[in-house]
Amino acid sequence: MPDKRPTTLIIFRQPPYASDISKSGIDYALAAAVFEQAISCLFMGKGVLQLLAEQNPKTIQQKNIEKVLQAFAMYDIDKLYIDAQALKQYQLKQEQLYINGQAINEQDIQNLIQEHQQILSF
Amino acid sequence: MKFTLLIMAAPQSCQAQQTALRFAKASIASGHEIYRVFFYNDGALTGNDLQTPPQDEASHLEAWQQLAEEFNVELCVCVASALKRGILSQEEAQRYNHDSSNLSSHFNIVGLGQLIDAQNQSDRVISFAR
Repeated sequence: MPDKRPTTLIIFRQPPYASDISKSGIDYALAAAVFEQAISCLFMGKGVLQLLAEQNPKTIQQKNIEKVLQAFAMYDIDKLYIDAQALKQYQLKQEQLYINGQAINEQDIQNLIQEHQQILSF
Repeated sequence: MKFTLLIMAAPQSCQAQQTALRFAKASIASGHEIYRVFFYNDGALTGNDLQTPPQDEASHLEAWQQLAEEFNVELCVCVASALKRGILSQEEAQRYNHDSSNLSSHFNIVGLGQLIDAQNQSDRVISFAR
């Protein structure tokens, strides 16, 4: 499928500050949006912790990931999915997240992965 | 098929790069094409020319360079990942007032747009991460 802009699912699977892989995923998503790629984002497993509101990483000398993720809306990245099982596991409610996404179950995640041509996992 | 490889693991700290190299060689041997290798995040460390692994360990750097030389495979390092890890081309070293540079030959420092272009041009993108 040369030059046909594959539909890409970006899966965020890591917590926000343990490594900079989460930041690399966000950078990739923003770049893909600038180049008008068809992208969707799935926050899965520990990745849902990136979405927790009122983060204060200054105390550990880190930049707040929340501010960059909030920019997703400005970049028209609006297909956001959240792993419902992980929310349950971390005892989180969607009201505690600063991003509005669709909470989906395991079966929906499987379908989502199948619907996309390329999957990048960070 | 046209493949792009996305390398996000550091060269010596896990098996990912060895697997990627084997995948690249096997693909080419089977008549496929490697459109581009994109080194992102810790993968950017691969471009460090000063790597000095012990003599009895395989040098991933040399293996990538050989691949580039023999099969014209494009080796691209993400600029943001590279700079923060101290991988600088001569040009970047000058820009940031460093006395020396260490980007290895056959590697190019590029922006994320090159990964997106590679996705659009390739049939598959395969990630190798930790």
